[in-house]
Amino acid sequence: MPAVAGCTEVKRFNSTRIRGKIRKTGQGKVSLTRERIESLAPDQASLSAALKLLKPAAWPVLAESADAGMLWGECQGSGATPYRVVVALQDVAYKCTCPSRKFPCKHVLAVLWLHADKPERFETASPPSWVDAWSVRRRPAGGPPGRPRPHDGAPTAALSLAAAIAAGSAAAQSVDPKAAARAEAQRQRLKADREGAVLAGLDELERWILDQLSQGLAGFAKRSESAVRTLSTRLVDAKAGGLAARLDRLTDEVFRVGEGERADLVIERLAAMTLIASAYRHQDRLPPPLREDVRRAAGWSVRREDLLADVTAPRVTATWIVAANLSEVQPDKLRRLETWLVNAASGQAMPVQDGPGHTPRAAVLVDFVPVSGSHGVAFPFEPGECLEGEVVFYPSAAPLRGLLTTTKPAAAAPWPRSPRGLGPALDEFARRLGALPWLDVWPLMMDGVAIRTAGQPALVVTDDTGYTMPLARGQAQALMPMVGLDDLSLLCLWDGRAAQVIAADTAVGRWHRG
Amino acid sequence: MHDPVPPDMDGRIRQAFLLGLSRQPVTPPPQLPGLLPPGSQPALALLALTGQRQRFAGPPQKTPDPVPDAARILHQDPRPILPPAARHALRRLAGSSARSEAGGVMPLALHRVRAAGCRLHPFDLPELACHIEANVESQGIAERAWLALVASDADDEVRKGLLFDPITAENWTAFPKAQRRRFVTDVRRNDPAAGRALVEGVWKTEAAAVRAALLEALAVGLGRDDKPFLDRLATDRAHTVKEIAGRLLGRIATAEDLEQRIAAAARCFTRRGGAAGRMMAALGIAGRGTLSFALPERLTSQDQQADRERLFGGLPLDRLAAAVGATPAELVVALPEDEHQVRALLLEQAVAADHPATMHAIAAARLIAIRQVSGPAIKLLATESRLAVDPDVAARFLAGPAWREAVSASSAEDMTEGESFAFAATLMPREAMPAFLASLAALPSGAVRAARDFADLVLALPA
Repeated sequence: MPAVAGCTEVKRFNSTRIRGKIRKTGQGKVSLTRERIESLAPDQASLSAALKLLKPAAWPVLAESADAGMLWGECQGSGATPYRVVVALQDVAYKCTCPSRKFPCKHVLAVLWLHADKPERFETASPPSWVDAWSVRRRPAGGPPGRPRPHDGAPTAALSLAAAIAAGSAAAQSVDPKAAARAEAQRQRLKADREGAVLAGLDELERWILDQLSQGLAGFAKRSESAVRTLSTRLVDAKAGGLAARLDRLTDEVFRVGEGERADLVIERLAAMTLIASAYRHQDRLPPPLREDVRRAAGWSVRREDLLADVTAPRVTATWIVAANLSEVQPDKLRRLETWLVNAASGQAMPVQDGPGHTPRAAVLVDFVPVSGSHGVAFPFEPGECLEGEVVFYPSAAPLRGLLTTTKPAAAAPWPRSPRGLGPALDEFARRLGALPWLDVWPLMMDGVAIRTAGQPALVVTDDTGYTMPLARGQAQALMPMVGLDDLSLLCLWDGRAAQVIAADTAVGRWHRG
Repeated sequence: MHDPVPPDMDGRIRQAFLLGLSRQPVTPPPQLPGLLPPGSQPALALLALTGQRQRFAGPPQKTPDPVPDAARILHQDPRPILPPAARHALRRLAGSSARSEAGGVMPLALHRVRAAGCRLHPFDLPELACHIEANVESQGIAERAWLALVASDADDEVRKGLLFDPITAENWTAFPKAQRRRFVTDVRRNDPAAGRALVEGVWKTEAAAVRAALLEALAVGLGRDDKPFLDRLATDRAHTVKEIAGRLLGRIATAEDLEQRIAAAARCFTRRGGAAGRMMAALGIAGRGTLSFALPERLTSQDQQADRERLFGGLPLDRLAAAVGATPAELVVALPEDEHQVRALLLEQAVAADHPATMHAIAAARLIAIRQVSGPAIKLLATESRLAVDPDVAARFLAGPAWREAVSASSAEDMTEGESFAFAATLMPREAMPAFLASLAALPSGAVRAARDFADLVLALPA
């Protein structure tokens, strides 16, 4: 990639810290030199990775402040949500929401590289709120707080943008059709092997469930950890990681409910696994969306590129309200990050059912990061933020999880209206459960409800008819301020036993979890 | 599709699952096997049907409770909720002050919120509950209602006490200890006998901690009429009560020779410059630092605490200042930094007399006199005065050598100064905040984050 013509060194900068490190482009903007960018990179692999991010499709948002002191962008990574990058050029401070433990990450390097070589791609704009928030709170030294800089700023001879470009070109030219065919055949063999392994894993699962039924589920909680451990490992070996994860979660779930509810919970969870196993065996008889559901439930994943290329995948372009950010550490030591979106245009006038011609009211974007490096990982969007974008939903009998492909900030939107009371929301859950029998949770939106105590410390959602829906334990303290408020609009995750409120629109303002 | 499991069988199937099929086998209904794929296990099919039936049925219904009084009172508080910008600044301050160990800033922040006539956003009450609880007597009705709402069932009296506003002679016993002490203090200012009667009326039924607190309140308006009651406390079962009673009796005993006590205390203050200094003071042109303080030489280390109490305890500050030929503020400023007890005794009188002007003047004088903006000094000043100083005082302080030294880049390398900056912010009035923020510009953001958040809060509050 050639340097932009017309760039000249600016001799009038006499700061020793930045002498020779910045330059002025022909357009009068300021950017770092290539040498400076190379000196920032932690290793050559980062520069090579940054090279792959220079294509326009990777950056739906690239902008700089009017004084060119701040650069920011949104990069479509492999995750469900774009990574947000911001750089302050004056002292080369930066921040990226990706979970990489390299500093600076490939996204930051890519932004700097793009700005050095293609400054015209950066739109001049007022910094959005997330850029301002970082700028106000950042420390003047570059890099994330508390982390040592990978270099002291001195150029490292081994790191070179030119070398990264050369390596990229060589890789692009080395495609061998025969090798590609062999690789594809190998992929098909591996896939067939995995199908066999999964089916064998399902056999083992069903034998195990029958054994639990034989012993009796009343005592399952006591023996759960030992009962689950071996089978979970075998399911992972059988490449049925989705089912292994369900089993692992069960050992935690049984102790989150009261003793009187445990047996029923175990019945429901084992029933769901039974349904998955049966459906998987007969997946060729299932409608395509449900077939996709059961394969994902077993543990098959869909690559981002494949989903985006799937013409049958539902796509919704709308104004989305970021309702909540949820984070949970899974038994497999991955942190699951969920960003819940609500379609601001959905409302009472719209049909509540999904399907051809109907528009989903909510979406969840899911990412996974290793636990060990995840404590500083930031969600890309703040609850309450509005954005315009396209969500591509994974094909499903009950579409909910998706990928965000394009985004731009949107003006604040009113909370969408929903049918009043619990009845319509619970009816919707029943429809979803009927369509997807092993459904874990479903987002319910309801207006005209209230939160009340039902024997301290239990809380319930109730409506004008007096019908109640229990709320999850652990939310009592956070939701208690809503007791006494009427006519709430709630967004809850309902699993059929307890609701988890993740957003509320009330007379005193909005509440968002996370 | 018709449910193949008859309703009367559902309970038996569920019980069999709980007890174990080896103990209680279950025969599937006759129509079920025909619906299953070949080789399927009926037990698994029954499990699936049972589980799904449960999920569709949902959990049992619960009866909601009526809305608690505390919840109604919380949301009926007529004060406006904190504006969004102030709310965000307060939430940031809660985080930044905790990280910088300037947690003592939060009560002062809540004080400013209340002084601005606002109440906390209800959704922030859980997070700020610990700060509300620590200063419950100075909180508004919505905040106290929150504490009542989340109080355990065992704290029924506490809950009732928190909800009533205002406190009266009819309901005062239902309030927490700190509020009751304050109530007695207020009554004593106007009618010492009525205040004493309140305390005497509940004396026999109260715990030691409450008795001690109520007794402290009798320090205001203390007089000879209180002596009989205090004499009886010499045999009180609680040591703290006896100690406080003894101290108050000591003050009464010496009240008769008040003029002599004032004169003795005034001799501890010396105007440097001799007669010329006194003349300058009389003309109101005495400069800063001309007044010095020293206790009588005869005091031994064992007696010093008691002698300070005898010399300064209960002395009206304005009369002492007049005897010295100085203002109350000059007296307090003249005290050495380590004279905590004397300073506390003098401030106690200013607080008890409820003289905001005096308290303001003291805070201003101490702030201007600060030579080094170190953590303990500025923190003590901020927490004792709980007031913002006047704008001109703030301007003088910000332009003074102590502050300029504190905010110079070289001295700001020490991150522990963060607490100092935060407490300095609490003394700044709204008018001085822009200049205060500008003075922090060169400092690392981590060292001044709490200070900036406090300033942002004040600027975002309604004027």
